[in-house]
Amino acid sequence: MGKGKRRIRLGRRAAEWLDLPEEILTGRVKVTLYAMDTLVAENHGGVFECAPERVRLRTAEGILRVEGRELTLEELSGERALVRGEIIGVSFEK
Amino acid sequence: MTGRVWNYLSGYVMIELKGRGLERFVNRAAQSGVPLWGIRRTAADAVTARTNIEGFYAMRPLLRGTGLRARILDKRGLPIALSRFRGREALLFGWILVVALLVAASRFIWYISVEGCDVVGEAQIIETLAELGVETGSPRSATATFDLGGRIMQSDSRIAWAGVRLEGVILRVSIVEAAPYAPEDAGDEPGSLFAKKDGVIARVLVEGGKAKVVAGDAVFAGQMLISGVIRNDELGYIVTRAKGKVIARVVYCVSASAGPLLKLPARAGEPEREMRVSLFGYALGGAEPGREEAVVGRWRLTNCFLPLTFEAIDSYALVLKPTQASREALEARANSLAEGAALAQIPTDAAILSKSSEAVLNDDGSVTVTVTIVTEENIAELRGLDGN
Repeated sequence: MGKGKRRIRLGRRAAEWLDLPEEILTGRVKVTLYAMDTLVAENHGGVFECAPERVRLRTAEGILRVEGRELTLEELSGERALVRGEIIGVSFEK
Repeated sequence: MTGRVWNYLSGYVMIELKGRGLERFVNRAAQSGVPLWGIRRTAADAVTARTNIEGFYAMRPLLRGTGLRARILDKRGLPIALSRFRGREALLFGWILVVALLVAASRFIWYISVEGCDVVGEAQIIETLAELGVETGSPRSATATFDLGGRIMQSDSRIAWAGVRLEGVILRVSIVEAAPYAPEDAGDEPGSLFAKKDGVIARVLVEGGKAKVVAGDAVFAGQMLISGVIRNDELGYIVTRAKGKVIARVVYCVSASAGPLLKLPARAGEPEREMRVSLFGYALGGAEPGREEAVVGRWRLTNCFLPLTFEAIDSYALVLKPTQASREALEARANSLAEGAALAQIPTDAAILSKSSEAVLNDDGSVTVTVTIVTEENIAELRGLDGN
């Protein structure tokens, strides 16, 4: 078992015991999709690609791929990325 | 939303980054705490983004050695808008003054609108409001609209309901008038309806008794209109109390004279000199009522960007003095007297169909005006069966 996976498992247990949001202790990405026009990714690892029809973000789980039309990175900080536009699909690339 | 407002208030720049490895640079900037938003790819090797002023300066060291070029496309926000006024302080002051005047003016009532008046005059409502301390120029905050409606209702028994509301700088008064009070004829003594005025019958509505006239008949005052005596084949004659309405066209013809002298306001005593400042043609501080003013000097400030004017004014007290008046003034006065006298004779529930006037100049210089008003009204009056 890899070091990262062990950390995630321990973090998940700790979060369950302490009743805390999982993403804080595990460092896993939290993706929130608002209807079809806004996506918020917390705990991302940076921008991998930014194009009008595709935005790809690095995460602990792999590359988060957001596809759509006229996509814009409305907000970008170390922890949070907000993608706005006409979102067609969200998937992970391993 | 709050973020957008804050960004606007603090000012921001729209930049274009050009080169290779744009994503890598964007990540570095985000990790270094440079706020970036609105990142959009415009070409294979270019993105546009927005950042604040501090962010732009913080970004410059990060650009070194990356081969990327940053270019400001546009500057936006409040500090940028204000910087356009640099060197144009007068314009900025003018804008601030205009906004301040608008804000100040919006705190007062500028117009009073009265709706629903038919019998009760609009002028009467406005007068009542003035007595209650509400008129054009009164502060909006001091106007208790919830209380005014009730007070207007109390001022006149003909008002059934009154509502007052403020719409911006307009005070809207809505009136609902009460139906004219007509007490029912409660008696049961026999009687007939007689004409109380001369007129031409327009329509007859009989509720009791027998009509003696039809539409189109000309009747004189005292003539029987609806009889309380009814013929019955079995009983012979029976008597009842005549009831109904007889609507007739009535002509009122009233004359009044005015002149040759009229009491008109005239200057009295020595004038009082005062100075007045005008801005955009509007005087700051108005004339006193009951006084006449004459401008004796006017000076304009030439070096000021505001059109300020100073005026020297002589103000005279006015008293009423018999004065030789023009024919128009005499006609207007005589017309007003005749019309007032005619309207005093007309019942309040009468409908006025037409009104005309004719003026004649007399030998002594006075003017006589004859006003003719045609109304439609109920002329029936209950009397005894024999007319007494």
